[in-house]
Order: sequence, then structure tokens, then C-alpha cells
Amino acid sequence: MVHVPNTGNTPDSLEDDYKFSTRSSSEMIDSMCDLITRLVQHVQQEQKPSHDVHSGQIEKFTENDLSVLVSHLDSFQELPQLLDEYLPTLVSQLILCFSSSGDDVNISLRASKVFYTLCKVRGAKIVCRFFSSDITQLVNIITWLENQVPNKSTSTFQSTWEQRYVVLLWLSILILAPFELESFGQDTGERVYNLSLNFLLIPGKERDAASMVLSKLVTRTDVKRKLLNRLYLDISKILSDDVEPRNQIDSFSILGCLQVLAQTLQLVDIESIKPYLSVHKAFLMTSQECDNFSNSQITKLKVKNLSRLVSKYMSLIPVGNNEDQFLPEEVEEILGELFDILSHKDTIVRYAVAKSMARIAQLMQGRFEVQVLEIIEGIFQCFDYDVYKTPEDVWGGVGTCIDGVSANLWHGALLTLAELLRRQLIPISSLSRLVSILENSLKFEQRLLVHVVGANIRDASCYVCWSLFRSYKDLPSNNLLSILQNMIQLACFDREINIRRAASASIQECIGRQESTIIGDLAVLLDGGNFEESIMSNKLDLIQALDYNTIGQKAKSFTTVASKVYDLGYTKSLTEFLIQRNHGIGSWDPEIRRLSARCLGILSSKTSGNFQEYVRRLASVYANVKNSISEYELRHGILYALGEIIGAKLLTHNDYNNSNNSLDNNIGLVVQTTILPILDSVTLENLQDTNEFYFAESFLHLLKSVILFIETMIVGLRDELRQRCIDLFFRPLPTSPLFRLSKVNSCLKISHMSIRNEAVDLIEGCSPAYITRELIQIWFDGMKGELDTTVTSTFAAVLGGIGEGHPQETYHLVIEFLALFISTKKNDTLTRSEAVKSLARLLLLSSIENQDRLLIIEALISAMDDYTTDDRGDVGSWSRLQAISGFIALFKRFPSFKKDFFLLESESMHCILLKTKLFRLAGESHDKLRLLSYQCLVELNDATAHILRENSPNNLTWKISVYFQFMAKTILSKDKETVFLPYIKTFLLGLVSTAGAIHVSKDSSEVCGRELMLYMSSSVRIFNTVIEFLKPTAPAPTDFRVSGKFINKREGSTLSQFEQKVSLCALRIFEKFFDLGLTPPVEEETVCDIPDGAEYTINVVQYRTLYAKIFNMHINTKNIAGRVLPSIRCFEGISQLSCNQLERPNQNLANIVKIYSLQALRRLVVLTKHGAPMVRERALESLYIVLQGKYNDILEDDNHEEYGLRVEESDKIIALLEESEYTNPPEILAENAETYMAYIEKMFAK
Amino acid sequence: MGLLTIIKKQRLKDKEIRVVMLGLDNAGKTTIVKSLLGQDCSTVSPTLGFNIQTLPHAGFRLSIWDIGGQRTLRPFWRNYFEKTDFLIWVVDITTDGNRLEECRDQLKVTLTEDRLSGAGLLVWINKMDLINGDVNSYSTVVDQMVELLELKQIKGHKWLVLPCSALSGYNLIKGLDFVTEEVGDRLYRYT
Repeated sequence: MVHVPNTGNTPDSLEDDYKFSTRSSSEMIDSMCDLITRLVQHVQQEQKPSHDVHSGQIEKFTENDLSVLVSHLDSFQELPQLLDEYLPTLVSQLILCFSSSGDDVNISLRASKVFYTLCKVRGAKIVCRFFSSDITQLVNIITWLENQVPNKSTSTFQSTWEQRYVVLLWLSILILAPFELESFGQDTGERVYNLSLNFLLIPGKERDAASMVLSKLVTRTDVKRKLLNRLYLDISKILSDDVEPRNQIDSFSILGCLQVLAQTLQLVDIESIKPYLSVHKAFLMTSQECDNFSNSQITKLKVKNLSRLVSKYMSLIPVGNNEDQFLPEEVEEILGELFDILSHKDTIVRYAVAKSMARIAQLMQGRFEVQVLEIIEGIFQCFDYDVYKTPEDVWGGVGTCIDGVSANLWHGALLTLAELLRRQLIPISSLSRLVSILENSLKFEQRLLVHVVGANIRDASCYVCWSLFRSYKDLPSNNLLSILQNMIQLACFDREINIRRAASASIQECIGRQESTIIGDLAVLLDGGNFEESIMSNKLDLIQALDYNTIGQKAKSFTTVASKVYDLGYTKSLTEFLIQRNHGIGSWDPEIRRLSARCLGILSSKTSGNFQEYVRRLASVYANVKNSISEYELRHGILYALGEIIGAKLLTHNDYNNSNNSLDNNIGLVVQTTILPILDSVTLENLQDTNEFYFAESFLHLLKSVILFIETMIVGLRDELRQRCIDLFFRPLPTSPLFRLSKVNSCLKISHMSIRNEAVDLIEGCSPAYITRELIQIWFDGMKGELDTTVTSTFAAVLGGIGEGHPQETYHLVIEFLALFISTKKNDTLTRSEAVKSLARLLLLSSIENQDRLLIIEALISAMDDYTTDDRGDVGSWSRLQAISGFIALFKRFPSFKKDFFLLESESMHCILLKTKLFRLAGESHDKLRLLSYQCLVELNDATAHILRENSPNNLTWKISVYFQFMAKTILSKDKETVFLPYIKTFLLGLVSTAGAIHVSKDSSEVCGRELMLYMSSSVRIFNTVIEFLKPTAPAPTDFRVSGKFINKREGSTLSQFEQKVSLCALRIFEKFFDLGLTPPVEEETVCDIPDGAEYTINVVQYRTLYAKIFNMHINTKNIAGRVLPSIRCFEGISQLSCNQLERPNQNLANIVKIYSLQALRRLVVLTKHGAPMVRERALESLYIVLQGKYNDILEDDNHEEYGLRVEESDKIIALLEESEYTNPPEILAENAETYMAYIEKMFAK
Repeated sequence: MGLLTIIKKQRLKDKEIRVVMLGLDNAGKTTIVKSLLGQDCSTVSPTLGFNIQTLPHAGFRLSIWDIGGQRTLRPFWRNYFEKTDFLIWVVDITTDGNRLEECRDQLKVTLTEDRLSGAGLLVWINKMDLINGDVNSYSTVVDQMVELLELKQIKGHKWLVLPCSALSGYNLIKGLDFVTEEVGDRLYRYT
């Protein structure tokens, strides 16, 4: 049997949970059977007399076991039939537990919970079959249930709903007993009827089971005559009751009535129900007002009832001569009603109607062919409402506009068509009509004011196709091909994953089942021409390309998949789809527009003709829409696509055409004649419209590609030729390239992230000639501007795009400016972090001089101390993050950089400083920062990096517990101290800030705290270091001065804020340390010298400093919760210290300890008089604890000469303390305090 | 609710069994399907793509995916959500030794596919009509095939080897019985 993991709070249980989620079904079933057996054993054990010897050996079935069992069952929800093999055993064992649970409420409660879950997963009807049909239980069950019936006065139940549900289900089986009900007691039928009717009208789950009981009861042959009549009477009373606005509860009783009616209709024979049919129909037709509750469940049940009624009416028609027969009027009426509900606002209702209509049509088939055709015609007509013709548009066609149609009606109608098709009820002659509907519905999309509808319609259209392909053979190929074409478009380019997959599923059916017609005609779709030989295998390739998993990702569908499909020859349909309004590059979703543009780029490089054709088409559409206000989406799409197309061309040029330095002349011509005019036609006003930032984005995107294109064109040309070339491209312009770049500047003022990314790429591609000093000055001004912070940070970001080849002064100017900007704290944080990022990018340029590089490195190091916080939280972390990432990029790019560059040699000042910061960050609570710092430390590739790398655990998932355990072990362990010694302090700084932080996940503070406590209690050095972190007053800024003149200009140290925070954290750590009853470590064995020679070698815990620091922490402050209260706990801890607790007491140390423990005790006494009630309370509490402990010592020391006296006095003091309240008046408190003090002086001060 | 959920439910309701029929080329897969459907078997040419045929049998709907023998099939399995319930492997009795080894390796690789986990396996030894000898001697043929294909090493799949003939229809229905019994017992016990 499989071991069932406990889900306790031990760290191991997490891993167990992980295994548990990947278990196979058989493993889970084993484990479930195991659990249920235990449940059974548990029950049996309960029943046995208590003196049974073996009873203690059986494990109890706990609440935890229950949740494991339920979660196992839940995981079968998707494929419940896998449980079938075990159902009989499972159910019988559960029933056994349930019925023999006796007085143990818990057991029957748990068994019923498992039962309910089983019913939920596998379906109540199937689970029911395995209930015991032991009819001796019937009377018991009825009696039990009668006691549970809800009554109006007390709304509380004695049982849970799961219990009642299960028992009712059981009753629904027992009620089928093949004996006269009378034999169980005269009024058994009545009793069951009454109790189940009661449960039928409540909102709980019991209602479902009650309706099963009731419907089975009233259709029993022995009681149906009486009870069926009564049921209809009662229901008509309930439904007609209180016609005024019904409340929520009433709608549940309607639900219950409809449920029981539907089930009764299914079970009853036609003769018995015949007299009630018209009443039944009247219920449904008049319960119209139910719709006011907007309760779709009611409408759905109504549909179900209607469809069953029809089948009853139909069975009343005598079998005979077809021609004489008329469709019963009632059926016509019901069909009319169903048509009305078809456009219901809820999917479940529409789907129910669709299924009902199809079922009815199937019943009529053969006898009422004309009426079936009428139904189909009716459905077809649904697609004609509110459709109007549109005038000729830019696409050059007259179209139909379906913007006004009811999406719900279309969806309902499509579902109905699909259901009809599945039953082969639609004649093949209607196929062309169906196809013309699909043409519209497969692309359906309606844009409403704030949202878009239509995904469900496209999905339902796929359902129509799927049903069509499955149920019909040898469909005419011309129709098939147009559907297939649409479906390929959907599978590649739909926005919704489900629709891409649904389309792919339908394509599979089409190709697999309609083979005979498709083979010959597929060539029509493949406009490439001669594919004769590969056509047939091509189909399989198509299905493979449209793989279920691959099309699960939108980005992949648009790129990889579309490209493959194109290569298979389905060229035209893809291109057509991408270049149109409302889809592809004209979609409302900017992400889809970009992806479509990328796809066009990929397709354009497939053949040489594509490039020119696409550009021509896009340009001509652009000419049509460039001035139209409403077409801003299309404009964005077109410019973006042009950018992608040129980009793709450059890519292939770089890949294949390296030998030939110039691009195809034709392409140059296309760029010059078509694309440059488009760029120039964009006005500044267009770009400055902040509502249309997408337009600006696409403009930048296109300009970027064009600039890169020109750059590529002129590579390798001689200077004079190059100039001519540039002139050629820019001649039509009034001024220089600057003119276009001035447009870029106005784009930069638009507040949007995508603008920033495009702009940085664009500037990166520009040759130095375009980036003038004036331009840079504009960017500087932009950074300092009063604009939106997204805008100022964009300006900061573009400065990082400056590439190689500029004069040194330019670099120097930019670097100085950025460094100064970063160090000015009042500047916006986001802009500062972008400036850090830009500096980090500049650091990678090879044309920068060492002097400037040093400036950057210093600036980055100082950015690691940015601990700015505001109402968004730790915003300084943005800068810290960028700085670390900058160093990582540097070390990765130039692995030998540290050796070559004197500043970062391993023993250099800068390197040590950098590592100091990194070690601190490596202990922080910010996950990403922590891991990046670790990575950076490893990238440094020096002695510490080697140790870190060699010892790192294998699983680099870096669960927080694994990480801290590893880091603490590596850095803080004694044997590695030599290398890590200089960094222990800063690492501890980070660690303390995480372990003591308030706003941090419980996980990290716990894990960190555990490690910290471990090393604090074993290493004097670490203990003393943490003492040092206690800083009652703000420390003076400690800036380092090496060479940078900007670094020390920082206005107020942000690091000091951090140290303030750490100080509080450290106090909390000590509080926790003493709370846990830990003792400070004793003397260290060895003391190492550290390289920088600082005074660090202390081998005894600094009790004096500890006491003094804590003393200072708790005075002169208003921060009671953060400083005073934890300090009291620390005093409590210190005063409990004695040299006995030290392993190897040394006399000197013992004296010190004694002095400070007494000092702390005195302090506690003083604090009992404190002004703040909370402080007094805590102080009294602590004093009591400490003195109580000392009292025990006195008791033990019975050799003392004054033993009796001492005990007596101590008794008094303890009694006094027990009586004291912090609410006592001040004079009493003061008086008491004096008593305590006198006692302490007498007892301990000797 | 969408098509994907409908397909899943529908499958349960229709008691559909998805069978994939594989084997080396020219083993007679398409002929078997045609024979089962009562179609003309005399004009079968190599299957280059694939066909889906639906065949009602013993209250189930068998969707038989008949896939051409010469293509690399691996990527095909991963195609959409529907798990394959049953694998029919067709072997031509007249196949020579080298081809049989290839056949064995292919079968092994195929059975490791995730989507086939737990699926039943039927090996049809086709073209028995070309062999001289009476029905009683077939049991040695079956034993040999079990050895050759190393079927006894298979774990996690119920399997059966049946000699058959597509042309005469010998043992075809018996094979389908095995399919419906195996899958019905596993997946559709109480539906």
C-alpha cells in the first residue's frame, strides 16, 4: 500500500505534496482504498468494547486523512470513469461506515463528505446504483429523515447537508423496493412523499436527491394513482402561491418543482401521465415570470421539461397512415416557445434549447418531414435578422454588415445547427446555405463599447463544422474547401486558445473523414501550384503543424505554426486574413496586431515577390486610412507590419548575404519610394496625440527598421559614396536626419512603456552622426522635466541606447549627468532606476575610457545602497536590481574583465566594496535581488565565488529554505571564515533585515530566523556582530571616497535609513533569541585576523555593549511597540543569564554576566513605573517571570545560612507581584517598585 | 463550455473508442478496415495520409484511425487532447526477418508514448490466407510472433495476438470483440 503523506507543517511535507500531485491514478486509488479501509477499521474499533487488546493498534481516521481522500477523489474529476472498477467496493464500504457509525457523529460526517465528493465526481445516478438495497433499512431512514425535516420555527439542523443528501440518495434507491409500500406501514408512501416534498423546496443540495426520491415514488405502480395527482396539486399550489415578486428562496422551490416534474416525465408511462399533460404544459408556459429572477437554471429546467413533454405528446399520436396525421398543436406551441428562448442570455440555456430542438426534430423525422424542414428553415432565418449590406469600402467589396445582429441568437442557432447535423437531420441540399452562414460566423466578432463578443460564436461554428464532418460522408469539395480555409485561419490566428484548438480538432475530422473529396481538390487551396506528389502527405503535415500543444501558445501560433502552414502551400488564405480590417493587423487587440505584423514579416521573407507585394498592399491601404479617425488600429498595424517586413528582410540579408554587401537595389527603391513618404507624411500632431500612443509606437518601430536598413545599405561603401547614399535617402526632406529624430523626441513625451522599448532600440541602431549634442541636451532636459515619471524615465532609458563611436566628451557628458542624477535623492525613483540601467548599458561599450568606466562603477555601487521607500513600498529596489544586473552583464560579456581592468582586481578597493554590497543583498528578503546577487557573486569568479559554486546544492530551484541554509552554512561556518570574514558583517546585515522584518513572508522570516539563531548561539563573532547592528541613533552617513566626486554628494544617506530598519530588526532578533530560551555562545576557539585589519577580534560576548545598546534602544523614543517592548523582553532574557549556563565559566566573565543581569533586573523594576500602560504591563510580567525563576534557585539553595528568611521574603515579593496590576495608581506602583528594588538589592547584589 | 468540452462529453455519451491502427507499410491495415466496413477490398492502394472510419460494434462507436505505414508517426500521437484508447498493430505474416525486427522496434517505441499509457494492444497477424496449413497450426504462428515481438516484456498494456485475414474476414470480428471488451471494461464500465 502506498504511504499517504501527512500534510503537517514540517518542511518535508512540501516535497511530499509535490510528489502527490504527480501520482498516477492507480497509485491514488490504492491510497484511497487504504484510507477507506482505515475508516472502516476505525468504525469497527469504535464499536468494539474498550477492553479489546488490539484496539490501540489501529490508526485513527483523522480530519487530515479526510482531506487527503477528498483531494484524491477530486483529481478524478476529468476522467471519472477510471474510478468505475472500484466503485462497488468504495460505495459498500462507505455505506457500512455510514450506517454503522452509531453515536460517533464525526465518522458519519466524514463518510458523508467522502460520499458527496464521490457523487460530485462520478455523478449521483451512477454512484447510487451501488447503494445497499437492504429494505430493512427503509423505515429507519424514513424516521431519521423525518427528524431532519426543516421546519419554519427552527432553521437549524442536527445534521450536515452532506449527511441528509446521502441519506436521501439512499432512500431514492430503497424506494424502488419491489413490495407494496403498505407492507412497511400503512402510510409509508405518504410519509416519504411529505418528507421529500419538504426537502424539495429548500436551497440546499438535498433538493437534487429529494427530487429523485419524489419522482421515483410517484411513479410507483402501487401509489401513483394517489400520489401523482397529489404532486400536481401541490405543485400547482406552490407555483401559483404568492404571484407577487418572489424572493430568492421561492425561486429554489420553483427549481425543485421543475426538477421533479422533469424526472417524473422521464419515468412515468404515458397512460398515467396523460391526464396531467395539459396542466404540466400550463405550469411551464405560465412560469414565465420566473425569468424575472434571472435564474437561468429555472429556464434550463423549463426547456428540459418542454422537450420531454413533446416526446410524450408525440407518443400519443397513433401509429398509422402518415398523411392523415397532424402535428399536435401543443408541440407547435412548445416549438414556438423554444425558438423564443433560443437567444437567452446564458449559454447553458441556449445549449439546452439546441439539444431539445434537435431531439424534437429527430422524433418528428420520418413522420413530419415538412415540419423538420420548417425548423431548419427557422434556424437558418435567425442569421438573417438585422443584417444589412455595406457600401463599397476600401477593400473594394460589397459586404454584409453583421454588427447589429444578436450574438446570443447566433450562438443559439449555431449550436442548434450543430446538434441537428450531428443527428444528420439537415439535408445535404442546404449545405451551401450553411457554408455561407459559416463564412460569417467563423470570423464573427462584434465590438461593443467596452468589450468584444464573438468568441463563443466562432467556437460554436467550429462545432457546426466538426459535426458536419463527422456525420456526413462525401461532402462536395467546393464547399469543404472554403470552410477548411477559414478554419486554418482560425487555428493559426485566433486570439483565443480554445478556438485555435477547436478549429484544429475540426480540421482533423475534416481531413480524416472527408478524404475522398479533398484529395483531388486540395491543390485549389495550394496556390503554389505543382504539389501533386505531396498533397496527400501534406494533409498529415498540416495536422502536425496545427499541433494541440503548439497552438496553445499565441506567439507560437502566429510565428512558427503560421510559417509551417505557409510552407505547406496554404499561402493566400494566411495573407488575406492578416491584412484586413477587424482581424490580423486591424484587430482591436494591440498584441494581436503586433503578432500579425510579425507573422507578415516572416511570410514576406519567404519569397522575393512577397516583400514587394506586401509593401504595396499595405501602402495602398494606408493611403486610404491615414486620415480616418476611426482607423487608428489599422494604421498602427500597418506601420508596425512595414517595420517587421523591413526587419525580416535585414535579418535574411545578414544571414545569407554576407558576401554581397549591398541589398537588392529594388528593395532600396521600395523603401525610398514607398516607405519614406509614409514616414514623412506623419505629422507631429499625429504623434503628439497621447491617446494614440500605439501610432507613435508603430512609427518608432518602422523608423527603427528603416534606419537599420540604411545603416546596412551603407556598410562597406566608401565615404563619399556613403554620403551620396545618405543624401539620396534624405534628400526629399527639408533638413537633415534630425528632422525625423525631432519626431522621435515628440514620441518620447508619450507616457507608455512600449514607447520606451521601441525608442531605446531605435536610438541603439542610430549611427553616431544622428545623435547630436543638441539631441542629448534635449534628453537631459526631458529627464529633469516635470512630466509624468514614465516620460522622464523614458528619457533616461534612451540615453542608454547611445552606441559605439561617439567622441569621448559625449560619453563623459552623459555619464557625469547620469551619475549625478542617480545620486540626487530628490529625483524620481523610477527615472533613477532607468538611469542606472542606462549607465549599466554604457558600461558594456568598448569605446569608453577607463576614467569614465570608473565613474560608472562607482555610481552603480552606490546605487546598491538605494533603500528609498514610498507608498509603493521598496522602490529603491529597482535601482539595486538594475545595478546588480549591470554587473552581471559586464562579467558575462567580458569574462576576463576583472583581470584586465585594474579597478576590479580581486583585492582592489572597488572589488571589496562591491562584494560587501553583494553579500548584504544576498541576505535580503527580496527574492529576485537575492538570487541575482548570488549570481553576481559567482560570476566574479574569485576565491569566494569558487567556494559558493562548489558547494551550491544541486537543485537550483532555490527554494527559500534551501537557499538560506546553504548561504548561512557557507558564509558563517567557522571553517570558511578566512575567505568570507570581511563579508560576514554585511551578509548578517541582510540576514537580520530579513529575519527581523515585519512585512515579509512568514516563510522567509522563519527560515532566516532559524539559521540566524543557529549561528548566533554558536558563534561569539556573529552574536557580537548582531549586537553592533543595534543603533539607537541615526548613524552619520558613511560614504566612501576614492575618486568619484559625485558619489559623496549624495544628499542624506539612504543606507542609513536601512541601518535604522536593521537596528529594529536586530532588536526583534534578540527578543526572539531570548524568547526561545537560547543562551549566548561562549568563547571562541580560534580568532582569525582579517585582511583589512579592523578591530574585530573579540572572543567574548560583549555583554556590556549588549546591555548598553538595548538600554539606549529603549530610552528617548516614542516607538513603544518597535523599541520599548522588545527591549523589556531582552532585559528579561539578560537578567535570567547566569554564569551557570555557560559551559566553561571563567571567573571574569561570570562577574560581567552577573553585573549586567542585575542591571537588567533593576531596569525592569524601573519600567514598572513607566508612563505607558503597555510598558508597565510587560515589565511587571517580565519581572514576575524572572523573580519566580530566581525564587526556585533560592529554594534549592537550602544550605544557605538565611534560608528560612530568604524564602519568606521571596514569598512576599511573589505574592505582591501577583497582586500588582499595571492599572494601579502611580503612587502604589512607585511604592511597590521600591519594595522590589530593596528585595533585589538584598538578595542578589551581594 | 465550448467545442472542446462538448467533444469530451460526447465521447463518453457515444461510448466512442479511439483506436489507432499501425504497422509497417503494406501490412494490410486499410484492407482490414474496408473489409470490416463491408467495402470492396480489391482496390486498395498505399495510404499516404490517414483515414478515420467509424464502426459500430457491441454498443460502442469505434473511431479507427488508419494511418499510413511509412511516415514517422511520433509527432502524430501528440495531436490533440483525445487520448488513444487502443492500439491495433498489424503484421504481415509474409514479412521477412529484417522487416520484423524493424516492426518490433517500432512497436516498442510507439508503446512508450504517454498518450498510449494503459491502452490495450491487439496484434493482428494478417494475410493468413497466403499460408498453407490448417487453422490448428496457427497457434505456433502466434507463439512465434509473441517471441519475435517480445510481447511478454510489455508492461501496463493488456494485449492479444490474433492470426487473421482481411480478405476472408477471418478473426476480424473476434479482434473487435477484444477491443470493446478491453476498453469497455476499463473506461465504460457503468455508462
